[in-house]
Amino acid sequence: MQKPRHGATRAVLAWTAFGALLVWLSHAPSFAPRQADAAVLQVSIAHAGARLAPCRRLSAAELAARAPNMRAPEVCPRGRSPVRVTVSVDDRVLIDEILPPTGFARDGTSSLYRRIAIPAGERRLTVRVIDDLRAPERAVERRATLRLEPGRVLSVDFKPARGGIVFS
Amino acid sequence: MAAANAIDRAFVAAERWLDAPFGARANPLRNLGTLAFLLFWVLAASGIYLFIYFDTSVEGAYASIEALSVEQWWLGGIVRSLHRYAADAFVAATLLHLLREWAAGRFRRFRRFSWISGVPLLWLMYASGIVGYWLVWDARAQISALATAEWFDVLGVTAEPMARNFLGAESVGDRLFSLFVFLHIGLPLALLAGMWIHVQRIGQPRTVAPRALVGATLGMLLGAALLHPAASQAPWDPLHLPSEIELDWLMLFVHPLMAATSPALLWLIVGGATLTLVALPALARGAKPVPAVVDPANCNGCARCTVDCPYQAVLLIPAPNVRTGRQVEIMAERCAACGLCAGACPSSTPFRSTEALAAGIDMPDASVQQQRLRLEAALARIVNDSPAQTGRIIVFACAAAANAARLEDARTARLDMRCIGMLPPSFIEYALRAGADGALLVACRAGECAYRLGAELTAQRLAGTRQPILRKSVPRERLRMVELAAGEEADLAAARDALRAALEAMAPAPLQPPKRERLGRAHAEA
Repeated sequence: MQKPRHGATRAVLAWTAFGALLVWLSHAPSFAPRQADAAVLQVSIAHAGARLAPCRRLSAAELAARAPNMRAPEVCPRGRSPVRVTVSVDDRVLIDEILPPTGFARDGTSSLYRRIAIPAGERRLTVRVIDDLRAPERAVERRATLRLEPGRVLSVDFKPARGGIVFS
Repeated sequence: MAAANAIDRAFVAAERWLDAPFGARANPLRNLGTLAFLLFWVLAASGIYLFIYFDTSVEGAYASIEALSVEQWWLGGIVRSLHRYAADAFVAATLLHLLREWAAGRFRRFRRFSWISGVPLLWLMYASGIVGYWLVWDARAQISALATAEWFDVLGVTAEPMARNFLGAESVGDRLFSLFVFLHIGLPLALLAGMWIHVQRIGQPRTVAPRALVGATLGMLLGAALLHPAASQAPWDPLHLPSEIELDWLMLFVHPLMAATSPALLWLIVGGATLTLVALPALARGAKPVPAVVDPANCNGCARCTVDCPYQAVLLIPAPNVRTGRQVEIMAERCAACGLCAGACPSSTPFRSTEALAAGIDMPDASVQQQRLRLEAALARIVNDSPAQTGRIIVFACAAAANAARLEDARTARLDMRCIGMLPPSFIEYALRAGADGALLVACRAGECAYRLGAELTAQRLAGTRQPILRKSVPRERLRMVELAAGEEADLAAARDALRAALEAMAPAPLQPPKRERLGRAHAEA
């Protein structure tokens, strides 16, 4: 039989050790989500590409061939073009991807999300978005030279309603 | 399996070391599942208090928690820290519980349901905890929420990346906090439901911790909360990613793991681990236990076996033809073949005059009839070997406990049992009336019963607090019950010698012998 005093010492020792381990694992060791001298480029784009075919009016013969309740005067094919996104930093291409539209009918948005660490400091950033692969000459492009402090998160988005490519 | 054996040995050593201060009943290592239940309630109580003060908005979330921690440090701050450390302790207790059960091989056959139903609880536990960290909406929440979204985005199940919800101030709205709160309440409720399911195949599950364990646990959590209060990191800032944060490695270890590997590889790791855990019972080999059988002619539907079964393998079913209107049925796949049901059956008494003894519920490979014959043979041997002496002892020995084989001598006979709970108390009285001067019951070490309840139920039956009881007329001074593990045979021999010395100092037992027809034959054969 253990003496009670001996037992009490063990109890205190065991719970103190468990508590200390809990507190330590709850705080340490610290975690470094990025390198000390790195900034973060966060490219996040969700954009529906151009329609593959424009809406068109049906001819009288086509309308007549349809059931009476299906005689909408205009049909709009649902398919959309993939979107191509190119991101370069200091002329080094970090992203060059062709994003397919989502959905079974390929009529949804094309989306991209990338989080990339880049060295902090002054950086030349070029972002190019083509939302109709049949017309690459209509690409939207934005170039900027930015000074990025360590830890700065630069988000890149494509919002035509706000003028195209947005840096924030 | 060498690793499992080594871990098992380490656990056994640690459990025995902690038996001294806590006793087996309140030993935290022997109550890891119970401890998890206790910590869940600590989390629920502290969480309710925190929710009263929590502001579910982008602007208010961080500020409300800071105000609680700083301005009301003497209560709100302590409750917040209790919540944090109780969550960590919950994770630790759960993982240790998982490791303990695996190392001890307690995941096969009749334990399969409990094992598999525990696997989703791991997911719910981590999901509840991780979302809890988001509510603080500090830099740690920023990293955790974004990393979790990136992890799910690799599955490609959403039209737009989930990570877009956490990128900038304009994409984070108050509704997001309503979702967080919903998840942080809904997931723990699902976890609680899962914990309830998890113990459904356990007879008399211990979900309420003993007071000593409650006191020690709360004391430890309170000490941690006072000495190292939980604190927030810098507020969430979508334009800045800190270079270093304090991380709760118990709860958030998946984020560094993903950073070191990739989202896809992390899915492979956790998915593979989950599938392995689920498949483990199917991969296990070993002899199938022979389940108990019910003899409807001898079952009166008293339900003692249903209550005493440690794995909920005995069900009550309606039986209109029986006087009580019910009868028991064995769920064979749940049966551990421990025999506790046979020990509980009122018809398992050797005093019945029928030549072919049949119990209402019995073990086909170790029936009450076989036990009676073996007991009679054992008693006949010691009566014949030492007719004029006192101090003749019958040892009822659990096969998983200290080895009683070495105790046998001219005045000591033994009857091995699969579990001491298999012993109907009437067998003890029968032995004392039929030639033994005393009886020694050998059970597994306290807290180590191979079938969970054997020693506990037997002790209650001997004390008269559980049916079937040992009759009051049986002299208790002629009886000893010891709880000793394999390797403690010296202590077992000492217990036998002490009982013998006590018996030799007593007058002969004033007990009438049972009907001796069968016994007479057994004596003659011996």
